[in-house]
Order: sequence, then C-alpha cells, then structure tokens
Amino acid sequence: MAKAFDDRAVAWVLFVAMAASLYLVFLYVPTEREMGIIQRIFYFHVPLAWISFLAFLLVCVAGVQYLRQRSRWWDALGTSAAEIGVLFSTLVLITGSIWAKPIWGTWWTWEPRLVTFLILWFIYVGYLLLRAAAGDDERRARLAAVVGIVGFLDVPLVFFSARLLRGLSPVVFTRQGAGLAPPMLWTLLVSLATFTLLFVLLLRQRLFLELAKDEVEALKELIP
Amino acid sequence: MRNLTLLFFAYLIIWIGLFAYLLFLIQRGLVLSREIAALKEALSAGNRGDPREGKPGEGRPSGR
Repeated sequence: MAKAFDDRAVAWVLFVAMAASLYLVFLYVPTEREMGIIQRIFYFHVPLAWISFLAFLLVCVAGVQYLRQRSRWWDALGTSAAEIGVLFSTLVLITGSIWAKPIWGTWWTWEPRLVTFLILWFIYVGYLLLRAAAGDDERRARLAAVVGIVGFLDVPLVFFSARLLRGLSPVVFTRQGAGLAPPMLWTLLVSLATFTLLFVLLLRQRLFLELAKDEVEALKELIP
Repeated sequence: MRNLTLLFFAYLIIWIGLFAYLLFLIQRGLVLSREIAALKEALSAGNRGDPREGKPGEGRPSGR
C-alpha cells in the first residue's frame, strides 16, 4: 500500500525557512556593486537551477532502475521528479530572463548555457508529453525511462557550457572557490537549503499521489 | 527602492505559489488516503457479506 505522508507540520517549518530566506535576501545581504538590486535574483535563480538538475538526476536514476527491475515505484518516482524538475526549470528560465533584461539589455540571447538549458527544458517537457500520450503502461514507462536517461546527458553540457565555451553567463563557482563575500554565500546556502526542503516535500507528496491513484484504481476494480 | 519592492513582491508571489502547490498536494494526498481506507472498508464488508442481501459469510470470496 502507498504510505501517506502528512507533511503539514514540516510545511510550516518550510514556511519559516522561506521567511528567513526572504529576510536574508532583502534585508541582510549587501547590494552587489556592479549589478545592483537585480543581482538578488541570483539567490533564487541558482538554487532553482541546482534543484532542477537534482530532479533530472533522479529521473535518470529512476529510469535506469525501472529498466532493471520493472518496478512501478521507480516509474512513479521518475514521473514525479520530472514534473517538479520541469516546474523548477521553468522558473529558472523566467528568473534568468528577468535578470538578463537589465544586465544584458535583452530578455533572451542565444548563448551556450541558455541554449543548452532550453534544450534540457524541452527534453523533459517532451518526457511529460510522452507519458501523457504513449499507449499502454508498460510501453509508456519503458519509453519514458529511456528519454529520462538520455535527456540527462544534457545536464553536464549545461554545467560546462559556461566554463568551456566562454559564454556570457557568469560563473560563480570555479576551482578557485566561490567568488562571493561571506554574507552572500550564507544567503545562497540558506536559500538552497530552503529550496531543497521544498523539493523533498513536493517529491514525497507527488510520489504518494502517483502510487495512491494506482491503488484506488486497483481497489475500484475489485469492488463490483 | 522601487525595483527592490517589485523584486520582493515577485519573490513573494512565487514562494506563495510554490507553497500553495505543496499544500494542494498534501490535501489531495489526504483525500486519496481516506478514499483508499473507504474502499478497503467496502471491500472487506463485501467479503464478509452484506447482511441486507444474505447471511453473513455469503459475500464474494476474498482474494479475488
């Protein structure tokens, strides 16, 4: 049986973490000298991007495990992670554009990191469309697992594109360390922790819903 | 200052949206849990036999 998670108490912990994160971003951290106020979007944009990568890594792992074990649990995990990954990566694209307008003077430019990230977004939107369209459960799960695995190959491309192809996107973390003052680094870490907690909660709930729907259908078939 | 306020409200709206989505999922999960419990109850009642239709024990065999 799918196990329900009553996360209402943890959701309030998340609420407090969100408030703390807002306090740090808007009242604690100093304004960056060159970019000004718009740089504060970085504390939102970067954690969202990292969590998207984590979600797509989970889709890939779930795909591999599904192909090995043919277990519905792994298939459900892949779907749930892909949905949340697409939600977060959509926010990455939106916040990135909002940042780019005052800094680059345009909402969008065909720069290596942006292009590879947009491709990643299309791959996982395609993954969700495939799940909605493909035929029987077994075939759909198999195809989705393959797309989830192959799609993840784009994640290292996104990561290294700004480092290797000399695009316009700023690279914050290099081999020399983070180019951030301590208050900025702490704010980023708190924001990252908050988004990670949000991701874990969303994933748990989404996974439960996916499995519970199966269980309801199975039980309805048993009742005349 | 105006830009900072705008950015703050943009942040706030997205956080509220994400938090509302989480609460929606939790709520939906609880509804489905209750539905599963009710279906199981109905199934076990069917297996025991419905007293309005016949004697206890004359319901559908279990393990179907």
